[in-house]
Amino acid sequence: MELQITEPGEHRPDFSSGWSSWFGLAIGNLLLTIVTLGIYRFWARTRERRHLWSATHWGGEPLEYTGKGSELLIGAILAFFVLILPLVIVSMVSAVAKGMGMAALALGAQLSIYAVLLWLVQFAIWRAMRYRLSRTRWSGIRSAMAGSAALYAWQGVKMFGLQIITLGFATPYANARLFNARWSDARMGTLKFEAAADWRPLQRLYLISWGIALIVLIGVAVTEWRLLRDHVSFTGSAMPSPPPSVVLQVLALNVGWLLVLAVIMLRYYAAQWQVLVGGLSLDGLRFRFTATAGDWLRYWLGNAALVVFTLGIGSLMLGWRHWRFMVNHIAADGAMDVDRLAQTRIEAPLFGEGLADALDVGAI
Amino acid sequence: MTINPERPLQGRLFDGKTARPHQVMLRAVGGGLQLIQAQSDQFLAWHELRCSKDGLTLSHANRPDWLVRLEQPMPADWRARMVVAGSFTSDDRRRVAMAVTGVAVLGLALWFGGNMILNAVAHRLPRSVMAPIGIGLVQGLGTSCATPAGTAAAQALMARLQGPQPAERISLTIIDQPVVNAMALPGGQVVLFDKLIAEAQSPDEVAGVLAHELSHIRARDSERAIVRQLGLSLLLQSLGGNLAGGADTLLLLSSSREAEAAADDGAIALLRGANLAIAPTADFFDRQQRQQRPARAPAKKGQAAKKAPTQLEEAADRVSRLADFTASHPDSGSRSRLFKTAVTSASVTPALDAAQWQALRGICAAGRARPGKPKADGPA
Repeated sequence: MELQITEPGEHRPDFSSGWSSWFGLAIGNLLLTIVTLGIYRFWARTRERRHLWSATHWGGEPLEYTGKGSELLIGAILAFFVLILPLVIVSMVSAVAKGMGMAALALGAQLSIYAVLLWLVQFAIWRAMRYRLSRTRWSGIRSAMAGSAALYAWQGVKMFGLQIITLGFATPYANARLFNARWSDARMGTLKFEAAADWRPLQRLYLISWGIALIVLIGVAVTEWRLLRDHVSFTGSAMPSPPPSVVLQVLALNVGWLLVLAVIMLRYYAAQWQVLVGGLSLDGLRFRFTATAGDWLRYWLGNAALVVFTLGIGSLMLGWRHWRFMVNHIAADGAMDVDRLAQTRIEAPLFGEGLADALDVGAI
Repeated sequence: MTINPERPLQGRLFDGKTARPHQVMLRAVGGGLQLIQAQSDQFLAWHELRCSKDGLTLSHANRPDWLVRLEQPMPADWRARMVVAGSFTSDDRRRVAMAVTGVAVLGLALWFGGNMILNAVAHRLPRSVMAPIGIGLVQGLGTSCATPAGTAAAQALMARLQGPQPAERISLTIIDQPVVNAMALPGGQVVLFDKLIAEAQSPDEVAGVLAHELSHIRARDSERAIVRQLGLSLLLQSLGGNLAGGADTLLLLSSSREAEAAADDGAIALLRGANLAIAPTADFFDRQQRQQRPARAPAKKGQAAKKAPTQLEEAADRVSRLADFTASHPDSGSRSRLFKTAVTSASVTPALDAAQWQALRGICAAGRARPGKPKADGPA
């Protein structure tokens, strides 16, 4: 007996969930989350994932999500003790040191918090991906992550440093490096994902887009400085606070810059997704991402309209829309040998993505 | 649709070893299902089998990645004999009941005992740790002011309120900032902003505000806020997300309203104990309230100055009272009423003499005249 995926050609996943079945689920989850003062959110997320996974068919077979809400709860409790409590203690130490006149120690403690957080965010991204893959099953075969979250996190910190040094101009390189690093660790059963996205085709578009954005930013910064210079003090002495008209102008400038940035970067964003996913392959399958800048724009405007015109209720649909957008724009060419796709020997983690949740870097 | 139980169901078996599906047939036999494959047959007992809600997927209790996908749903009498995955079993019911009880007990304990726990912890925090935190916060507020005479006046005011033998060491710092405010910070740090002293019309008004802050210090309100914010709130937010965070903020506002009301009561007691006038504090709040509501259009001279409040103004007043429900401080109007009703006919003496009052009012002006490095330490 053969699966469709074993025949060479173009393969597209199929998403079969209607909006009403998701909406019913989301409303139920919302109500249960409210009456449990938020605790139910772990089970709510699990139910949502189970729904999305099971409605997504790949090569004729559905994905399965096997995670449990209790695993997410344990992850959150652990994150509180290994992340939040130590951070609180260190910031208390910093506050005490500052008050006792040990400014260097206070500053050191503050900086170490930022450094640890920077590292932890990357660590958490990798670990959350591992949890989700380990709970994803297709045709009875589990996915997994091999490799080390710590190594990935160091790479993430290095790339962050590079971005700072290059004023953001290294973004295509950094994003491709990290995407490749993450996905090279991903496994489906015994098969390894190959991630070889090349950043060079992105560089020209990025230089132009980010260059324009930076020039606009400098213009905005100079204008804002002119508006605010009589109201800002660097010595702690009292200054009159800026009048509302100035505050409004500064706010308008900031919002304006963000909008300009979004429009300028849209084409790059779409191209980056195509390049990153385009570098991904699994056995004889080569992946593609087909969303154009226009698709992304329609998707975002659709999201905004959905939320605004339903007075916010539509935001319940955003998770579904996100998943549908992704699934509808992924394609793969080639074929996969399902006999070579055997069960993974990598052990699955016992609990889930508490760090990513606490640091707010979880996506779905 | 009727299914002939004798006719076997077709399906695809995924054995969990590779992704290759195997064509199988399933037939009910005594005590379970017979799985018919090309080479061999297997017997699967009902109690080992799990069925999906739609009846299209069969999984096995002891083989984690094994599953059979059927081409048509299983007949009802098959499903009745196995556990339906995702259905609510009596075990689940017991677990949920235990969890709900646990959450309810914890919630009730925090609701009724939370303040007690917070108070107990707040009063046990060592001063050696809290004072530096408070000092650090004071330094972050701006330049502190000190002149020999002004500092002496500030200390005289403190001594007047605290009595000859103060129970604890409290330090008062006057900060040069254009805000009408005062604060009680951790580790016995009280801050008065210069603009408040400038707006006060007598030392008794400053004494009233200071008495309020001293009550906060005695009640360890800022320590309690820290313990609450860094311990309980973070734990609640880790578990309950934004929703629990919001609920926690509402609770926080209600408890800080209680703390403010208690500090006002404490202030009145302190002022009485020190033979200080209470009425000036009410005047101060009255003036503050008038300034908070400045938007009345300047009436043309010659017209009736005092008109009955328009509907708009009444509505605004109602909104401001409503807004007070969510704000942490009671509005100045109701505080003024509280202090006014506390006024007694007992004999009082001014908080400071004229020379001391002048020195206190000029404490920041001296520093502003000669620009230089901001002083790090305020009057202790």
